Amino acid sequence: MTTTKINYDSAVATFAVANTPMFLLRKLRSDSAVERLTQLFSTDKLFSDLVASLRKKPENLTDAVEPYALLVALSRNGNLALLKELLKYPAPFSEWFSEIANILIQTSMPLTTTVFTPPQYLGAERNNFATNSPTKSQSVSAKLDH
Amino acid sequence: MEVVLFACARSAALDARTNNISLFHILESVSSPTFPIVLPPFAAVTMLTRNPGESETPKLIMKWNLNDEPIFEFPLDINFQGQIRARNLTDIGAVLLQGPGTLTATVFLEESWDAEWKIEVKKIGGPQIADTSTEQPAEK
Repeated sequence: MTTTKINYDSAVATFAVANTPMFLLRKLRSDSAVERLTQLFSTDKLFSDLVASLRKKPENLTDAVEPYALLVALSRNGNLALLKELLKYPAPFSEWFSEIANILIQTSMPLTTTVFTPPQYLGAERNNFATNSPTKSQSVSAKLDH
Repeated sequence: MEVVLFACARSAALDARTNNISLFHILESVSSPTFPIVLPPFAAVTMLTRNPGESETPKLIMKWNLNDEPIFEFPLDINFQGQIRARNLTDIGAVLLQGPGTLTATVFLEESWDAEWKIEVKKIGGPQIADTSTEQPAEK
């Protein structure tokens, strides 16, 4: 499957009435086409298809909105270096492209995630925990106070 | 550079559309009639700001103590990517708590204390068994 097979109908409807880059960006952020792009395609694929779509002269509204949808989808992976890299590519047929890319860069807030498993659940220590566990009848799960 | 927010909650969510973090059910205290107990998995959020020119990948460590006894510690990944604000969302697996007291999480930034979160671990009254040893046997 390629990114061109995505149903861009709702994005096209937005693009047809968009009068500012901010309006287009705000609508695309919650668009189903962008959601599908994010779910189905890798960052590399989104990047390469976006670069290709920037070079292509649009023949209809779908072609015209595709670079913007791909850009918003790509921004969701949080890689600012990629967005900055995109600004180096000319976008002769997408006049709001650099402005929207700049907004995405300026408003981005980097996020890193960490998953930590406490050591008593690892290896031999897990057995210690099992030994120290309350019996089934005594088992009490932690209760949160509100 | 400083930690502007450090908090723990039962769960956290990242909105894919807006990139906003939400915390659900702030983790303030835990209570149980018996110990040890297992604190179910929870989330910790750390937000930092830096001045331009400061490191984009500072060295952060999160240390956990129960009643000042170290339980575990691990490094936190933070990457500012050129911005002045960055966040870390940590999922912490179930924690074994041997007894009541205060569970303290401390974030050390470049080896100096910067932020702290305390969770009260309380022992509450459990089920009571009536003492029947002093009762007189029923007369026949």
